[in-house]
Amino acid sequence: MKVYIPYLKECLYFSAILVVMLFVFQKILIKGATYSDNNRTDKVNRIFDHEIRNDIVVFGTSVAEVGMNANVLSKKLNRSVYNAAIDGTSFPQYKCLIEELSVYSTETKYVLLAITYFDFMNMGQLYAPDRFYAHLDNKYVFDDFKSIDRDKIIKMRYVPFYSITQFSNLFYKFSAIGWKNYFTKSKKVDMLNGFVPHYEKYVSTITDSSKDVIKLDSAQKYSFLKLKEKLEKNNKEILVVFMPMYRAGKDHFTNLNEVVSSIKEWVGSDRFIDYTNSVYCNDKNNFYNNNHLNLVGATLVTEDLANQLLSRGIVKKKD
Amino acid sequence: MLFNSFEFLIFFPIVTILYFVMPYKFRWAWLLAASCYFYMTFIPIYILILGFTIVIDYFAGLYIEKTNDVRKKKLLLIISLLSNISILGVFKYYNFINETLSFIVSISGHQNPIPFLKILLPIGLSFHTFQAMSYTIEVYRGNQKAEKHFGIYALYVMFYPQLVAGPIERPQNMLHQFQEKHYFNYERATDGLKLMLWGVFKKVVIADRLSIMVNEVYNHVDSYQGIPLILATVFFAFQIYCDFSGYSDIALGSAEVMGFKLMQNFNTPYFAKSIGEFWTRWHISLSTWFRDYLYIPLGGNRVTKWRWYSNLFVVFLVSGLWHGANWTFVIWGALHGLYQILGVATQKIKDKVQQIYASIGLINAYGLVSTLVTFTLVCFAWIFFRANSFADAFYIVKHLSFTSLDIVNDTRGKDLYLGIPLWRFFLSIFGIVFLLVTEYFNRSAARVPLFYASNKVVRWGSMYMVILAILILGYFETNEFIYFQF
Repeated sequence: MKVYIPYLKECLYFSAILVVMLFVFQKILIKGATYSDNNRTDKVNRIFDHEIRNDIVVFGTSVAEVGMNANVLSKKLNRSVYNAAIDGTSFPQYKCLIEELSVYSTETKYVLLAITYFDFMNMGQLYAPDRFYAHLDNKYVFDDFKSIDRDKIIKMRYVPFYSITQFSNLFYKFSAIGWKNYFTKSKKVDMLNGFVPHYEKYVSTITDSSKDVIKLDSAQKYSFLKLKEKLEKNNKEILVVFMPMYRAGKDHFTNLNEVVSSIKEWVGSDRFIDYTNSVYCNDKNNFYNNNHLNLVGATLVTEDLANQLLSRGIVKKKD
Repeated sequence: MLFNSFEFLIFFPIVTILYFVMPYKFRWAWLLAASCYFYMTFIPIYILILGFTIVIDYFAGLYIEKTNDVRKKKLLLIISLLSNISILGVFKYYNFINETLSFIVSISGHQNPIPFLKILLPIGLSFHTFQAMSYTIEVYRGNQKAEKHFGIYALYVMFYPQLVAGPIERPQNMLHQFQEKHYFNYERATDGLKLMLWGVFKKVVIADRLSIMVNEVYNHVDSYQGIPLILATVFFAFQIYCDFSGYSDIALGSAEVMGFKLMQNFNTPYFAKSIGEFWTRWHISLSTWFRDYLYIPLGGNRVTKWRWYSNLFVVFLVSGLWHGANWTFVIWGALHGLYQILGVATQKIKDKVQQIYASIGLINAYGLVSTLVTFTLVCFAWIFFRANSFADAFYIVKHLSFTSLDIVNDTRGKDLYLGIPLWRFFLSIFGIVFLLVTEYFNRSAARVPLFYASNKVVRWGSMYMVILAILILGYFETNEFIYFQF
């Protein structure tokens, strides 16, 4: 046995150095990404740093990100508004942001989900998850991401250094930008409060005349109802707005009205506003493609939403 | 289970540690059980096919040795070989033959009534079938005693490091190793682990990164012409090399940790100065198999010149078919056969040219030119190996030129170079250069010299760098090894 002791020592030294090196490397990467403000990581980081404490916080996908003009809503309601919607996500992926906010932000009174047809669909995979990876230790991020890609997320959490194999070049970029921000003490000032305006004119994205069926994921209904309950427990109201779609986009689906009705049922009609049959859907000047509003449309719809929220007594104007 | 998977990262240490902890008499059983599990992680039911050939060949071996009747020996050998070849025939070649038949029948305006089989090819079928066949042939020739222990024989066919993609071992090299008692040896174990590390690097950092560009071009050949086609083909040459030699390195390394010595399968093939030399460096276990069991029995080079040429051609034609049941593989094999014949036929001229180069002090330049010509010929043949169809292969051959440099495609406003961003394109090229430099400095042992540096800082530092490169630059989209399909 004595013969093996020098070998054992060498193995231990080699492994110890490797583990320390990888540990430090991984920590530096992750820490850097938490300071990043690139490619929507500012939104994610600000929520997990508990900086977002606005009266109304908007969540959703790119449709919400480009369609909800936070400053317009803020001015109309005389309340602070932040648009925390992130492009490319869907409800199962951005839910963790709402859950985190619901726990820490006592100032937030309303969570506004600005949804479209694919928010509650089963996307089957994580989209650009690197924007969230710095917060994988967070319970909500872990649980939600696990529900989408169980095998990968469990390995990333529990297998040492497995995460490094999953970080794309984007994550390295976030980390580098984050460290640069940290050392230069620069922080992005977002005058638009998370709103990402698009100035383009309408271009159709439908290439054929075939029809599609929207498949709501029943698991998301349960998930949504649980979230609603949780928000209510934390003195927050959830409002759901089904965003307008240009008529060519609407016509592409055979069951859009049924989907809208189903979601309305989950939410409750008093907290649900539907824009899929609004006048905005008929004017292509409001859109830059079939699902996304441009700045003109976003401003119009947001103004209208503010008016509706006030007139229906859902939200009261702050003095 | 793939060597580049997380599951193997768990499987390998468990199997190895328990192998050494276990009493000697149970070790074969442990390795056999582990190998069965390894194989069954692909398609479990296919273990029955392996079981069938193992039983046939085991008894064939015993009876061949027992009987003194030459005709009986021959009959038993034929039964054994036929049973192996039949399995290959059914699973690998049935649909191919039927497809060819359909084509021939369709020319005469008729329809082929024979149905196609809807079955998946058992993984690594050609490898373990050839290994099993070498056993009965060697017993028949009297070079190997028949293995009495059924478990050991089964392990010879199923030993997990080389079960699904070789090296195709010989009974003389392997069977006695399963009987020997292996003690843990630190130097040997670390050598094995270093080899595995290098193999994983070649697979996930070089091969799998190159595969993205190769797939982009070869799956959309119509969209490219000129230099992109050349680049994709050169990239494929390195992809398949790193993929297959990476697999072999992991196989050799994992066996070495446990004390088994498998045969070297690659020896810096792209430094070969002729096609003949290339085949002594590429997939050595297969080329020696064909040499021993097909080329020499056909008469080898101890026949008339034309017969010799035909022997060479037949061997490479069969080698092409061994790789895949597709005419593109047959063409690939035929091309290599032609290269070999041309190489032999022009040997005198080549010798004269070499002498001229030597006389003017440019012998190194001659070597470099020979290497480049060989590499070009090999790459040209790879077109047929990689192309998705005959038509694609001919499209590529027709559109090979240095005129069109258009390797950039625009996808939603982003410039992509053969389907990937510029930095990843250069990263892949850097990977190839790194490989060539590493191999150039250690052409004999095919191991990374820096891993064996006497200075500990250099030795450990280089290994840390390779581990980091695997973790950071590795492509982990569970890409199978190319040769698994054979």
